[in-house]
Amino acid sequence: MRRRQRWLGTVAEIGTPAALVVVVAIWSTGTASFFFPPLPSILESVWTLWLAGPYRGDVEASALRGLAGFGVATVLGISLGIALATLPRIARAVHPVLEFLRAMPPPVLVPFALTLFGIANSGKIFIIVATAIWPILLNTTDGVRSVDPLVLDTSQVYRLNGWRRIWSVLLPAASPQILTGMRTATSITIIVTIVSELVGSFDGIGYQLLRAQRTYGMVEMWSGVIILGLAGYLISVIFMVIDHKMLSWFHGARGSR
Amino acid sequence: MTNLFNHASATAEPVEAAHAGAGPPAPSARTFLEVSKLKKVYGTETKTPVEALHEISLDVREREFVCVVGPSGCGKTTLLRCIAGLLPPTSGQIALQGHPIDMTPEGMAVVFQDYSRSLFPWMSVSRNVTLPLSANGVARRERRMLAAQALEAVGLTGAADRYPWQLSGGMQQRVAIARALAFQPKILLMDEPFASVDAQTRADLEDVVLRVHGEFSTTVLFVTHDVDEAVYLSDRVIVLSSAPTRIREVVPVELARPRDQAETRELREFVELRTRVYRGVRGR
Repeated sequence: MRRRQRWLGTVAEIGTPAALVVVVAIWSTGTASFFFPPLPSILESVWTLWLAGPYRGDVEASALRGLAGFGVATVLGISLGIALATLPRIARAVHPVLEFLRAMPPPVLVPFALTLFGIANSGKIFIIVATAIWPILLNTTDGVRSVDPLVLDTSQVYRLNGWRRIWSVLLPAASPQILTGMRTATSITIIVTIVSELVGSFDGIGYQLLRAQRTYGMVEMWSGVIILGLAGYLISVIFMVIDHKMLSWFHGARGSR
Repeated sequence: MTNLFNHASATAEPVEAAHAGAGPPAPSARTFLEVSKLKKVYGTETKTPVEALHEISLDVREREFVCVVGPSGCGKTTLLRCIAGLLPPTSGQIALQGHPIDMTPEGMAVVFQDYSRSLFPWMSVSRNVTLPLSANGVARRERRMLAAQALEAVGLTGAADRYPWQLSGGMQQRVAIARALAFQPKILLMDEPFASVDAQTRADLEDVVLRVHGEFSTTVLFVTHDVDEAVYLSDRVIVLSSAPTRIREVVPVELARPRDQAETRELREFVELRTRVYRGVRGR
């Protein structure tokens, strides 16, 4: 019974999107709509234009910016988050500043980054970091603050201090929340990467999307959108794997209670 | 046999005990832990401070097994947390081997009541046991050896690679005891460690603690609300009053060791002690 259910689940997981693709493909092939070009030609150009064609460099540029920004945001977010959670006095002092910075919408940062960094990659990465860092930082702080007091007592009794306390106790205890923050940050990263490429840029998926729109290249535009959807899906699969590997203790401990 | 407890080797060869609590060396006359005029008031800055401990003075001798009992809410846990350095006392002094202590002193291990929260669920059983050792500079080989010995002493040899949440409550508390043992404490504090396990497991764990106390000659301060448990385990029972807590009575327990769950509890002496402690707890 169980196995059968799982099997049905797999079929549904693959079947539903496949059916959707087929329906849209049939419908769009029949129409002569300018805005919705035939799906087969869009899918074809995902490969011929973006993955193996002239825009491959743009995909790589965007991926690199996204990864760099997300990486810096993760390292900074977790380190600052731990610092804020373990040093309450400093946390109180910087709280208003953080709230102010957090309230800034990312597009507002674009002109500033352009002024500061010009059109170099560092400006775009700066914008990504400045927006993707918040969910990671806040979740880390919250996760570390809510570590069970008995876990902290135990650490004190057994003299787990300094780095060992952070590395072996605080970080793992907060890791479920940190990972949630990182997952939220990935979608922000994708959005902001594209937005940062719309202004003052000469490559990247965002730049090519804008160019396609301006030249009425609907096939190029739609295939770019599909590329972004695929990227998002790939990231969520990666996070599922990480979740499974790193947090099995968390799910196990919750399930056994 | 390697000495899990350094200071034990001078007094006795560890015995492969078949019974619970195989004859430990008698407590020495030396005072090991000394608590003098310990006072704890909660909310001193507020308008309604609550006096939890009212000048508690007690001492525990080396290798002694002392139980602290009292009515619920009498500040047993407060007392233990003060001694463990987890709670600053309002006044009074605590000294271990003559040295006054404020933070958790070296060579003290604590077993808490809530094993499911005091073990680290993200680490395997063996890592839970060895982490305090690596934090205190014990070399890898020695860590492994100590962990294996400690897990063997609590009967958990096969569970080293499992995770706490995969174990039953009783087994989890065994892990917590093993972690404390591997730490080679000079004194072991236990805060109602068996309050949340079933009766059968409780009896088993009591015997584990007795055996460990016998084998390794640890000094133990054991807080419980269970009168039978206190008499069964200890060399001395300290009876506390309800809050503000004072020491109401100190009952020496001179039952022979090793003790046995069935036989010891049948002894007339045991029953008398039990009645005396019970009356003390009830204040009659």
